[in-house]
Amino acid sequence: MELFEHLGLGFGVAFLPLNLFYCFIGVLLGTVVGVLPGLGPLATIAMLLPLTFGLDPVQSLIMLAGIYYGSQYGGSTTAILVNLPGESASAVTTIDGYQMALKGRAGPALAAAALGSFFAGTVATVLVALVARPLTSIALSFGPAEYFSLMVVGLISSIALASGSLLKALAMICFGLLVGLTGTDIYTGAPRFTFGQFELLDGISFVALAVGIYGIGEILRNLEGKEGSAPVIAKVKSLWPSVDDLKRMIAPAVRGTAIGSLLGVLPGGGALLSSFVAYNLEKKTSKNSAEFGKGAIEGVTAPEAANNAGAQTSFVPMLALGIPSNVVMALMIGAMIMQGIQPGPNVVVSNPEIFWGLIASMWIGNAMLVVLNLPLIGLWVSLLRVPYWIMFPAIIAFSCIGVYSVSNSAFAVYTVTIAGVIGYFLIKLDCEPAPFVLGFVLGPMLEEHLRRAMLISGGDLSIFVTRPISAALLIVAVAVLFVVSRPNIAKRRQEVFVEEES
Amino acid sequence: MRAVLKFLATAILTVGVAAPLAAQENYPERDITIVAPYPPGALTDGVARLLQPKMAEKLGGATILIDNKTGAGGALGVGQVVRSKPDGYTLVMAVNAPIVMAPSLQASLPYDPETDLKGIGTIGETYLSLAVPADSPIKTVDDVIRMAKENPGKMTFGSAGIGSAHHIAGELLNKYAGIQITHVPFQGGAPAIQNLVGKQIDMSYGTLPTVHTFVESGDLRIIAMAEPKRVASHPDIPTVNETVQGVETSTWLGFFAPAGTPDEIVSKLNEALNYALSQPDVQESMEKLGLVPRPSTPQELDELVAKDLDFWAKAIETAGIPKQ
Repeated sequence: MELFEHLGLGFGVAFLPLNLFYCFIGVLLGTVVGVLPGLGPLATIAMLLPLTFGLDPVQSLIMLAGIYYGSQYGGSTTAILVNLPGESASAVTTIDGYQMALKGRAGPALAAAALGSFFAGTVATVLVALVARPLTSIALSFGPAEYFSLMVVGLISSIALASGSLLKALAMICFGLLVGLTGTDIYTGAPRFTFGQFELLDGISFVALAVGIYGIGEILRNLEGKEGSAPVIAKVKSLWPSVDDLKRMIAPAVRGTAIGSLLGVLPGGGALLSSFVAYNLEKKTSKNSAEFGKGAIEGVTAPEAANNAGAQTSFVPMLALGIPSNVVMALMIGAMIMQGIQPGPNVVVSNPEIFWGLIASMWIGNAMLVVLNLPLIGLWVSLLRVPYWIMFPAIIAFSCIGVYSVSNSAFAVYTVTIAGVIGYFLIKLDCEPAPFVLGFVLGPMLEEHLRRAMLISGGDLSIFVTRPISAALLIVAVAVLFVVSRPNIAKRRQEVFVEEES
Repeated sequence: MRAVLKFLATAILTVGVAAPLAAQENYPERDITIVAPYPPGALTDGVARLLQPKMAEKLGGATILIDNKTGAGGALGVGQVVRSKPDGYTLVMAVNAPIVMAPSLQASLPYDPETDLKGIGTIGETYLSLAVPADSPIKTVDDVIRMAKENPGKMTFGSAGIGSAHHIAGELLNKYAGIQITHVPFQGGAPAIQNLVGKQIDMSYGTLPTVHTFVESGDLRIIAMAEPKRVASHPDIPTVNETVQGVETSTWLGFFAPAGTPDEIVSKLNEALNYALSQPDVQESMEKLGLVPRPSTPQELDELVAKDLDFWAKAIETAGIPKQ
């Protein structure tokens, strides 16, 4: 009963006309910056933060939150249309989303992303309202050992992302791991791979790297053609998913939501990891697994549902504990402090209108997003017809502005350039970027948590198996490893059979 | 011809001398940029944005821009200001870490705080506490020492990272009490406190406002402050110093200009800063950020820098943290 009272309070706050207005502004801005390559929610919120000081706390948080989850929606648009992840979590959406676009199925892909996100967003919001406190205790029970084991699951899963050579995928993961180690070693303060560059002390910017590897690399490759031809895109058949498409979306959306809701609560990479894990799970369980990597609609729905569910539940540690689960949340905490609210476990009690108002507004915001995005699909798809000589310079310009605005530093633009050249050679060598990106993100986290676990246990490795959550995750990792290696055996056997028959 | 040349020479000289004077007189004539070497939403950024409108008001409605130049623990932003023209239009607000601690921690710091920076004024200070989970058997600093001696090498303390005040305080306690509590660095103060609430570590240092919300919620207990004196707002909390002499840190925020900035401009900025710090609404907001206003003269800040450079050099050496 108490819950209904709370939700009543929340919707009472969220439905105030001015709050609806700021919610709309937030999700609209979020969609726009999500679509623009390089410009993510972090840069946008950072730029808009000063403007929110004049608003009241509920309004400013509703708007900032809208920008955040709105950008998760928008991020999939460029991932699908031009193979450029607008957001780290959409990196995995590029795999099948872009293939669908090439086959003239950009419309259904965009619809799958939007509907999957909407479903995940609404379910996750209800979860936040119902079980914020228990979810918080999950987050708290994750110590360094548990994180390490989770990262192991993530890294092993990333092998499955490869649709080509397994050896190349492994090489790409290792390359990503090494590049990810750039920066200051947090346990000794020693600079690594920085070559005396001050700007490299904090590591390489993920956004700049992803924009370079995916966006610029792809553009360079396309310029190779005689006329600098854009990728050949099949004629757009239908803007909307067929009934069969919709049926194929249901189960992946549910599974993606479950994974995203759980992993999103974990501070540090949870939301990103969830989209990779959700993709991998679908690839292994779907009866259409052969289609993965060639434009399977499940491969778009599941990760998009997962990352959007994760985006909602990542508010849990922030709202219930005052602890940020990612950089964007850290900014929102800054916004709360500037508004005179001390974030922490007392916000629910001392500022219930903020806690419940924000949760209710997230539900309304998700509804707004789907209404906003579905009619836009036609417009986005028509963007594919923009000639390359307008499209390519526009992408490059937006990318550079976007990465520059994150740290106000030209160094990020140099990073994009170098990453672009690397991305080009990777494409030429048939190496896929997804395992590289996952290695880049997970490698440093794996190291951080492994070494912290070792510090706490005094060098005793048994900590990973004596702690139940950690042990369970390692069992999952072994199972994933088994499943990942199986299709190769199956394929070989198939080849043998083919030879025998002929 | 000669007369003309003479006239020109005099004119040029006069203009050359008078122009900068006029510039000081009329300062500010254009937009002022204050570099906050940390991301938006961080403490320094928050304070800068809080002071910005009041300072602008005092400076005759000048436009003050806040530029978040992040990286290398604040050293990137400070370095940029040091290299800019000392004309009062590029300034930096920073916590003490990149100013007085970095010279003893970073081998290739691109500036010397004593010769490259001119203090405008101190902004405020914040306090470091030592906390444990609320149900921990540890109640006092004596308990920490006793338990650490009973379980050598088994106990852990969390910090905001290598070379943070948290880390140095913990190593000083190890050194002066003759114990060995393992340092577990985190990437910032918030994850350290989260891991303390989740009982992954035995104790952690943390800034007072962050830790205090968890004290109010019944999750954590502060056993002592790593400060030279008891904190005025919490007179009942003892200092670590009272049990183990020498375990103290200090954290403050200062406002700086590049060395060579004309005194007249510096004193105008100092007036503007102290005017902003004297506003009751600013003081109230600063308190919420966990910062106690500490207005000063430019000289007092320069003296504080000189004194703290020595203090941290000794503390970091005693703590045994190598320069990188």
